[in-house]
Amino acid sequence: MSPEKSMKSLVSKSRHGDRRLMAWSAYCWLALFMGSTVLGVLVNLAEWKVAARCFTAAMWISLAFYFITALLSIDTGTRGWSGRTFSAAVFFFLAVFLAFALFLVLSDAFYIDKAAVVSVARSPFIAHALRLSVATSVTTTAIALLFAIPMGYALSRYPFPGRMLADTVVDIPIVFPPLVAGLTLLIFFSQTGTGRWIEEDLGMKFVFEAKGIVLCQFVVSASFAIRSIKTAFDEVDRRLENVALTLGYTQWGSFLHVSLPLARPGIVAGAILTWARAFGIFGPLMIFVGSFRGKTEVLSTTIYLEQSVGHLEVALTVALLLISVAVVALLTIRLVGGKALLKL
Amino acid sequence: MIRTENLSFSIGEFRLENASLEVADGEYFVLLGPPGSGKSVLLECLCGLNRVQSGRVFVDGQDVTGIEPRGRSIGYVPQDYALFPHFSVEQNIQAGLRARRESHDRIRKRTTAVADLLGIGHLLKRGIGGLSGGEKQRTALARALAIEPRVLLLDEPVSALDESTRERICGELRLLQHELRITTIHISHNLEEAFSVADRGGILYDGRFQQIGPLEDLLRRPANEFTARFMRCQNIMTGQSLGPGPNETTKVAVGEAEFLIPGRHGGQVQFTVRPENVRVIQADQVHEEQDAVVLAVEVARSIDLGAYVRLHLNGTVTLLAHLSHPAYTKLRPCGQTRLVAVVPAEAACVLSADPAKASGSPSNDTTPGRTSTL
Repeated sequence: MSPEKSMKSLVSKSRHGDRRLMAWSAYCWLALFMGSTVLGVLVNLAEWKVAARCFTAAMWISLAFYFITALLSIDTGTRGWSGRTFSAAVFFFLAVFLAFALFLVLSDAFYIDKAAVVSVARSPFIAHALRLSVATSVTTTAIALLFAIPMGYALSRYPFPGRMLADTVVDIPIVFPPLVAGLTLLIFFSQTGTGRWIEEDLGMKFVFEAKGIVLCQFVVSASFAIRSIKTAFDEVDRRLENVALTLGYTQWGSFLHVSLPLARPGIVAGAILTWARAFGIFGPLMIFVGSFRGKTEVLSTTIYLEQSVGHLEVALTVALLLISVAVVALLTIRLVGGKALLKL
Repeated sequence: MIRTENLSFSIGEFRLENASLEVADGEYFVLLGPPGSGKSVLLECLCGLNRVQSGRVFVDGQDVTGIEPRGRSIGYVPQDYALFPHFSVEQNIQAGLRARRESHDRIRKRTTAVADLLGIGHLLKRGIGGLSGGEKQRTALARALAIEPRVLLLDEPVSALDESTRERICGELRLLQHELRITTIHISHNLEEAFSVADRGGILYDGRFQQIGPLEDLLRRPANEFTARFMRCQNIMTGQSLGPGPNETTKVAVGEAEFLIPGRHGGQVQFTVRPENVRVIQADQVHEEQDAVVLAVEVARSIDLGAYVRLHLNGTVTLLAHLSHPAYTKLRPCGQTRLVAVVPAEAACVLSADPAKASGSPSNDTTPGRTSTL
């Protein structure tokens, strides 16, 4: 190897080493940020004001260093200054958005007090609301997937007359305000013959009932799953299904063994979107099922009820509880769901 | 054996019309045609993936037209192999056997047998992502052969491979087919590939068979202009019959030149002369040749294509000639010497405008064939 080449190789290796070092530092700064955030919130709850200020400062400093080291760990190859400035420009927007979102959440976290946390932790109604929120949103996601998987497949594979119209109808719940969904459901069950027949003759009560929460969440969130799963099936090569048919699979077998496993990432993404939407929905629930303590109250409606009676700290504590459950659930689905869910 | 009778199928603007084909037991048949001619659509009809609008498909004498794909016992290897990306090589090979609910013992035995036959035993535990083109091709073939099909359909099985791998795989395909004696239809748009695997073939264009027969016939005796062009017979000429020539030939005037073509023909005649059948020699070496025409020519351009040299000749007509390197070397020193092109009467092949008259074609379609200038 010529001395020039050897030098270039050394420089390249050194740069690679620098990037790895930066990546490790970024992880360290991120860990420091998370640690100082948790400790900052805890000492703030304990009302140790000076310590809280110190942790807050440490939190923002570590976040800033995290962004800087994360940016420096990005490999821009041989793109030179244009690569660096370009990655810095796009990274800037990512950093601003993340910092803003964190700032909002942390404002709440630093606003709440010990009394509010104790009150939330001891309230049987809030515990019930949490259980109901989780149970209804999980049920809604399961029902939405039950519909979205066959619907997504049909919309992706079958060129039936009016498919474009059907595709548009699927998108309607995405575009109309969630409040309207609650109002529409209320009108359907109280003002139409079919609705009254379901409620009165069949005895399936939805209005102001827990079952209504699932129905409401389903109406406003199922479209996200259908859209995501349809796109996933669009990306599955049709020839794979054809080969499966010639090998001996039935249409059912081809779907279960080939199309469904290959559409898994889209199905997981659809489940995440549906669950997140169902978990956080508020407006239509207030109209369609109300917010009866211990009956139809979910976390999102608790927040509204608490702030409407002036318990702002309690409302924010419940909001943080809702966010925490959502973050844990989304991370779990991403980490575990992508691999294990629907492994057929 | 696989046989089709007047198969018709349309999709969008495309229409496969009255496709009739018979591939004998243990025969290796190659389906030729340019992209978009309907080769893959025909194969999908044979597999049962497309429901034909009319006509019938027979496998080993059994009418399978209404039978679903899994009941036809046809092994299908589509373009780019369509391997299941979420399965390992072993799971891909076993997919058909599992679908047919074979016993574990049989699945294991068949997997080992086909993997050994195709030399991919060492790849069984590997994922699909890291395989080379040749390895993917073998895996797809193993998957199709594992179910012991009566007919094997290969849709451009080597088109995604590089030149040298393609040659090797074609040789292996031929040997494998010979060993298994399995009726095979292989789609290709490459002549070298077709000749390296099959003895008989059919040319499909715009959903219609233009000619079916031994590859030698397609090459030397193209039935129409499309087949001639597809088989690279570039010297395609149209002339007026001038009456009988010597020894059962006809004199044909093409511009100012005069050619001899075999047989008796009247009126306007279209014929082709393969470039390798045009001899180019020095004018003073010409002997009296009764059944050949001699045309004074100049070399407009010569291209060395490795195996032969292509000469673009200008004279009373423009001609293309393929010369071997020794023959071309003999011509080169005589830069100032006049050259002539000798075109024997038997080198000319008269073309028909009607694909139904194509030799060996069982098609009963009488619509005039398309004359393409591809």
